[in-house]
Amino acid sequence: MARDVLPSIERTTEPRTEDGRPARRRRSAREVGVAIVVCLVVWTLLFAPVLERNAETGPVGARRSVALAVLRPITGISDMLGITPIAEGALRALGDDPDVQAGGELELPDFELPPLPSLDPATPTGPEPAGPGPGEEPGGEAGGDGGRGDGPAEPEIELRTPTSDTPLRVAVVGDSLSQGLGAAIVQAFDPDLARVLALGRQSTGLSRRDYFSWPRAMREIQAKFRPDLLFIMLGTNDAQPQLTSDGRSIPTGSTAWVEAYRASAQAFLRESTASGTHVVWVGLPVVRDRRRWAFYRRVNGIYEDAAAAEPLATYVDAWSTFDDRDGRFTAFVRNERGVLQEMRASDGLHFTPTGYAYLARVAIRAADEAFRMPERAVGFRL
Amino acid sequence: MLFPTIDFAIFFVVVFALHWVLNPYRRAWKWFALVASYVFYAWWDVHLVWLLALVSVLAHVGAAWVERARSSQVRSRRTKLSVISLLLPLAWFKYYGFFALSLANAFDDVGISAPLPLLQIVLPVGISFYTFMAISYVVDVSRLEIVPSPPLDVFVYLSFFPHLVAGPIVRGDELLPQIRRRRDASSIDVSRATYLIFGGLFKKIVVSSFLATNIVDPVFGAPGAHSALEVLFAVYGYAIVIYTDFSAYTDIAIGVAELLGFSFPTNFERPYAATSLQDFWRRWHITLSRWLRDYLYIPLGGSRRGRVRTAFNVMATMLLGGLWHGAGWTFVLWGGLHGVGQVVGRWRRARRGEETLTSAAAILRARIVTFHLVCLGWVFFRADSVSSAFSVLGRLVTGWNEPTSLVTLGVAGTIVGMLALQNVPRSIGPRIQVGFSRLAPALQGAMLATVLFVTTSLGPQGVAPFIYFRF
Repeated sequence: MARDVLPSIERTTEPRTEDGRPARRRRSAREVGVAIVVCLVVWTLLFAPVLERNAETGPVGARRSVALAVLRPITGISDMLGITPIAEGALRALGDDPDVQAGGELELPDFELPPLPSLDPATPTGPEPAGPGPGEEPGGEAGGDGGRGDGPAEPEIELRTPTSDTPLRVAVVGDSLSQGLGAAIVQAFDPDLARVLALGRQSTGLSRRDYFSWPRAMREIQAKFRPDLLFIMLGTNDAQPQLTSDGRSIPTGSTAWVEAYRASAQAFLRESTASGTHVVWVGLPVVRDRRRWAFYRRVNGIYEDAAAAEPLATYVDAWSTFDDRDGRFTAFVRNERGVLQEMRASDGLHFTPTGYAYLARVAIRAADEAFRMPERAVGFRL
Repeated sequence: MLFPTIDFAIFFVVVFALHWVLNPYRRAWKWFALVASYVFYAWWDVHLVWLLALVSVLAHVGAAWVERARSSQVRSRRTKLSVISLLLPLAWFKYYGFFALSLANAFDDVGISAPLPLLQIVLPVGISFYTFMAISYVVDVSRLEIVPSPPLDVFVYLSFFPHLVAGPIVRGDELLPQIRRRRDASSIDVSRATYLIFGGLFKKIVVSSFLATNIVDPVFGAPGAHSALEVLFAVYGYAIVIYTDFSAYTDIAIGVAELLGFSFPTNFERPYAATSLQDFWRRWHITLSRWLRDYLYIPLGGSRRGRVRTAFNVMATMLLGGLWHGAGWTFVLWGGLHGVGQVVGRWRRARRGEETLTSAAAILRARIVTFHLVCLGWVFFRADSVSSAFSVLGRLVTGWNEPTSLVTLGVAGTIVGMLALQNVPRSIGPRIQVGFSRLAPALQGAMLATVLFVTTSLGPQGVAPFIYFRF
């Protein structure tokens, strides 16, 4: 009887607005607390596999260990309750494939260009990167010759002259610094004579292929776009232990780390130049945080050495381009006309749009010096 | 601390629980609210917490000083000095760098070294918003609209975390009484709050990020490399990006406050359904518009001193509103465009008489014209420089018959869909909220989890800072 009465009381006490329409029912703090807790628990169970995958690709250290220690049991509960397959199915339906690497796959934008000439059959086209992974010897099982094979016997050092029918193919790859550089390089080239793809990816580098593999991405770039000219700028996220393909961690600062990183940089460069692409490797600039200096200088040395050993590559010293007369960090730098400009972003690492534009001109001039840039292809005096 | 992060979710769960436990004990609650808000602020940069405290001290001391004035002249003088003291930190952080660099280059031309040191000053997050609130507090005390509050109340009022970083700009008479009195723990409008919070998350994480990444950033980064159609969609896209980004933040702020039993004023009211620029400013960033009206436009004389003086006041208000966004000609032009548009609109109405748009066609025409004028302004607002803005506009004329690979079905559909949402009947949102409010709390939680799951799955990894954090 009481059970019959209660719902009817509930119905008659539903709030109404002054004009008689149903009004929102208000809740107590306790009820709201229940809703919040249920929301967070259900979401955590649904999203646990993604959170765990993201935690796994975080920098090796205490934070990652704690995150994994918390998330693994939650994923276990999610599996046990049968939530994981439902959530993964939903993720796929929403276009977020849980099986791809945490940093996502490279997506080349649409471009309309004449079809690529076929590659030399000796050039491998398999899905795996040809370069060695961290901690693996170049030339080892995963190494080989980096995809060059018996390719072109003599690389063409000078860039070809573009026309509006056969524009220069230019790509920019790397981390968040390369994203800003990429936008500036797009702006610097004449769109009628150059097709520039800015392909930089935030939070990427060479240390963690399990998060995002630039060598693999480069193979796709070469297969689909095959740039005449490629700008590389990365390294800001690489001051962390490298993970080998078998899950082994190589601690930062060790000799093994340096050697593994050198091998990765060399292999990536070989991958990049495999199809005759000219490469401009832009080094890391001086940054405000002096604690990063030793690492940045070390990896800059590795990039410079790698570029020096490759006829189709050149290196740009961004460090000294942006330091002050005493070798210190400054946010204000004189451009080529001597005008003082605020070139560095307030984080002391990235650049302002003006700074990226200047860096782009510096990098393009370096390309001109090394490979004779066709003057018409750019919108400024070389 | 950003709203759409796990850090904030954990922070809020703890704050929500302690807030309602301490709610009956007002003094303890105020100290708790103050500490929680300062932790929220310190999450960005602990070194700038002193600035928030300094502005709070200046506001409290200034208001008390103004209140003690014995004559209206003294009151007026003290009010001006207090407002100037509040504006000085804002001016320093916002304009010193630009000023020193301009001076250095000017002196450079005549071969003299810079007279002022070149400093790169990081703009503290939220400084404009809490400075504006502090000014409104002092001026309202001066106008006898409110009485000075105890220092702890003023500190909580200025730092209360839901509005701290990007508004809405809540006035003293709206928030201080709510801080004083305990909140009603039995009457939380959870459906409106969650509608605003989860709608805001979807707008920011999915809509804003998608359009910014896929069309707006590439096109504004290099307009010359894109076709006219791409540029046109990028301009429309930016109108959606800035709306979804900014309104998302304030919607979440209002919703979070609602869950804590506080009521904040609405900040956006379907701005792209405006039928004139004047109407637009009644719908866009409403709390800033009324701040500019009450503390700048009206003190300048408002519309009471003739047509020419009114036009001057409108222009001055809009130009200063533009300059507030940053020291650059793009913002001056943006503000100027809105100023000229409003002046012309006023003159037209004065000549033809106030016309009421009755036919659907007339309303639609007015909305389309207004939307395009607003978009024209956004080009200057978004561009890195004036020349870059003109490159965007120039491309709209020259870049037809070129490939338009960025204008995908997803991009076009999102823009059209978001614009269409500005014109749906007002009753739909409340109806959804009423239905949701009748569900059991556990079911509400499960539904919200599903919405959150879809939102986080559709969005990119990591969340870009909100656009208005820069201002």
